[in-house]
This record gives sequence, C-alpha cells and structure tokens, in this order.
Amino acid sequence: MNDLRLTLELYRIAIRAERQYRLNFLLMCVLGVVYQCSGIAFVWVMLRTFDTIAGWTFGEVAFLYALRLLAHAAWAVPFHQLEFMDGTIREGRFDRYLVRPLNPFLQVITTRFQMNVIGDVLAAVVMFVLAVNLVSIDFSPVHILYLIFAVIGGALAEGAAKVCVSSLSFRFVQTWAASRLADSIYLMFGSYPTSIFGPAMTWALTWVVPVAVVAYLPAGVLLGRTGDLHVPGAVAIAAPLVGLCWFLVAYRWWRNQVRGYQSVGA
Amino acid sequence: MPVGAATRQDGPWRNVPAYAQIIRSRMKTALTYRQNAVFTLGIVIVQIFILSRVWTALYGDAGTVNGIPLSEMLLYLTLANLQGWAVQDATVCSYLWERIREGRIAFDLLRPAGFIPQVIAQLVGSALMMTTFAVVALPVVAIIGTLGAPASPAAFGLWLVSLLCGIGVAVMLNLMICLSAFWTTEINGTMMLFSLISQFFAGVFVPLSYFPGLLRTVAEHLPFQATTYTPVAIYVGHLEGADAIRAIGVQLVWIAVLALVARLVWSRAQHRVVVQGG
Repeated sequence: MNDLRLTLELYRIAIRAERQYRLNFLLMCVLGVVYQCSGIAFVWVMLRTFDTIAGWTFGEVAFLYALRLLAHAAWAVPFHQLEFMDGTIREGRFDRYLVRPLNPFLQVITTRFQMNVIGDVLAAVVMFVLAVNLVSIDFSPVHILYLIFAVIGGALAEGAAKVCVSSLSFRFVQTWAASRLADSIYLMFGSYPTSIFGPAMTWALTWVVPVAVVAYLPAGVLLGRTGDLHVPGAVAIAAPLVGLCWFLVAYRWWRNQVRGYQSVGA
Repeated sequence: MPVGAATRQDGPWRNVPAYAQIIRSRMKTALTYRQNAVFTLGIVIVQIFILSRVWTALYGDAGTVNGIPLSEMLLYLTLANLQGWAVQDATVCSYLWERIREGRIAFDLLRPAGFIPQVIAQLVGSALMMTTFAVVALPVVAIIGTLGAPASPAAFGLWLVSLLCGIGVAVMLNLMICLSAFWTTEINGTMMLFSLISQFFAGVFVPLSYFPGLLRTVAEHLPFQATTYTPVAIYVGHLEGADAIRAIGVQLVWIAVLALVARLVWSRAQHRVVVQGG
C-alpha cells in the first residue's frame, strides 16, 4: 500500500515538472493526436473507393482501430517511461533506484512524464466515440465489462513486448531502435484485421508476438464476428487473459534481467 | 602568400569547392551512422509489406480498380515508400538545431560561404547518401515488395528528371524545417509532425488519384506531392506525355517558390540569432 502511495506521489511530481513548458506541452499533445489518427485517415480514404477490407466495413475497422488506441493509451499513461530506461542506465542513474526502498520497476516508470501521452489519450477517446457511432453494438453491462477487460488485456499485451525490449537495456547500451520497432509493429500490424496478412503471419501475430489479442480478437467478439476469426470463439473471448499471461512472463523476465545489471562505474 | 590563396578564385563559383566538401562530409557522416539508416529502412520495408497486404486485400478479386491494375499499384507503393524514405532524413535538422541551441551556429555564420547554401549542401549530401542506401537495399525490397520495369523508355527518362526535381523540392522543404529551429527550442515534435503530414500528402500510403474531392484539391496545391507522387506516378505510367511534363514544371515552380520563401524566412531568422555564452 505504501508502494502505491509513493508511486502516485512520484507521478504527481513528474507531471508538475512537465507543466513548466507550456508550448511544448501543447505541441506534444497535438503530435500525439495527429500521429495516432493518421492511420485511420488512410483507411478512410481507401474505404471510400472499396467498401470493405477482408469483409470489415469502415465502421468496423474504425472500432478495431479505436480499441487499439484505447489499449495503447492505457499502457502508455502509466508505463511509457520504460522506453527511456536505456538512458537511465547509461547515465548511471539506475544505481539510485536499486538502493531506494521501492521496487525499481516502479521508480523507472515514474522518472518523467512525456506529455504527448495525453495526446494519445485524447485521440483514443475521440476515435472511440466516433467509431461507436459507426457500428451497431448494443452495449449491455456484459459488453461494457468485456470492453474494459479487453482494453486492460490489450494494454498488457503491448506492455509485454515493451517490457521485454526494455530489459535488453540491462545488457546493451542503446535500445531505442528496438523500442521503435516494437512500437511500429503494434501500430502497423495492430490497426487492421489481422487476417489480411495471410495464415502464417496471422498465427505469428497471435501466438508469438501478441498483436492480434490487442484489438482484432476483442473487436471481433464485440462486433459479433467470432464466426470468421481464425481461432474458436472461446479463445477469442479469452484474448485479454492471453495479454495478462504474456505480461506476467515479461515482468518476471525483467526482474530476472535486473540481476544482470552492471553499473557504468564512477 | 597565404597557403589557400593559390587555389582560391573569385566570382560566383568561388565557394563551390567548399559546398562540395560539405556534401562529402555529410555523406561520410551518414555512412558512419549507417545503423540508424538501416533501422529506419527496416521500418519502411515492414511498411511496404503491410501496405502491399492491405491493398491486395482491398482489391480482392477485382483485377483493376479506377483503371489501375493491382500489380501496378503494388509497384507504385513500393517505389513511393522507398523514395519517400530516401528524402526524409531528419539528421541534418537535428544537427543544426543542436548547433543553434549551443551557439556553435556562430561559426557557420562567420564562414565566407553563405549559411543557406551550407545547409542546402548538407541536405543534398544526406539525400545522396540515403538514395545510395535505398539502391543497396533494392534486393531485399524486391523480395518483400514489388519491383518492375518503368511503363516505357520515355517514362524512365522523365522519371529520372522528375526524381531529381523531387529531391530538390524535398531539400527545400527540409530547409524550412531546419530554419524553424531558430524560433522553437524543441524540434523533435515539429519534425515528426512534418514527416507524417508530408508522407500522407506525398501519396506514400494512397496515390493522390484515390483522394476524395476536397482532400485531393488540397493535396494538389501542396508541395508534398511534388516530392514523391509525381516521379513515381511517371515511372508506373499514371502520368504520361504532356501531363508528365506539366507535373515536372510544377515541381520546378515549387523549388523556385520555396527558395523565395526560404530567403524571406532567413532574412528574419538572422535577427533572431542569439549566441549564448562568450
């Protein structure tokens, strides 16, 4: 409980520091929105000529896209600092985290607060409201509960990949390239119905790198399309659990890798 | 007699050796940091793969849509992405921004060669090296994407001209972004925003002929299409004959307009230079 209180306090301090730079704050927010919405602009332009992609209408793809954005934002708000851990280690600041009485993972994620994350949240909420109006889902309490689980599960699935990448920085000096690659994979492969990539890629994107479980499978469940997914309905419904499992494995791996940490020395 | 005096000439071409040297150094720098290029090239190749899959799924069983066969569309996407990547190097702007922030820009301003030509030389050097990387990567690109012959020998000739003009427009646009560093203290956000917007309007994801009504009008009046869409559309044969020549004319007009704007922006930027420290 004390850990939670401390973590929240560290977040508060990080946000306060960032609010000093107002123009940059605004610019980074706009950037977040434009970046996250650029993909859907492409889909919109295409689906004006073609009605569907792999049988999905624009509204349905928009819903899938919005679900991915929500999951991404749910990951990014608390955890995005993980991406910059290689810098922390390179400059020897990680030593401090090891001697303080709080889990080093929690200290890493509260180092700073990048304001473009707020843009991610804005983009996700706006896209979701727009997309829900384009598809016909009657939201029963069960649907809403599933949606919440799907967002958390999706966040953890993306997080699992990011946690693995950040654990590389205990051994390698720079990891920004790997981290950008992971980002691109989730952004580019996660924004379309996975089936368009062919059977082999679909299998890999479900079971090797958990991308399909972020939005494709849950969106299929919520849109009532479980019939034409590549996995049985029950597995599709369990997609959020897959995310959770991957994350737990990744976190254990991260904690294990901390032991391999060598300080840069004085 | 000073050592350099023997080789130094007067007249408008006297700084050319200096610019050639800047181009060479920038190419060397890009070669030294090639892992960055390899990495962003990797992302572009993934992007080519995804776009190819998306468009194949969209076409479905229809062989030809809007008069464009699928194979031609895939060739367009592959070339547009590769070329769009080659003219989108952000390292020169980051480098200048750092020099401005740390005050080292003063040395660039003191040199006998003009500041704007120096930046242009840097950008040209980087574009040349990136194009070389793109050519080296062609075998990999051919496996993942679609490569093919140009529509006709004439199209090939016009494409070469248009490609050079496209690099010219891209260099001028990058110059604007570099100059914006005199006003803003942070440039990463601007550069990312610029690269997203310019890629979209350059037709890297969707050819301009697919843009609906108003969006197409907007895109046609922006300089971004002159960087990528024009050359690639000429190569695959969307733009032919008089249309192609007119499009190259538009590219030249953009280079002239952007050069004028750059002049104007620079005359204001000069007054903003504050060199920190002594």
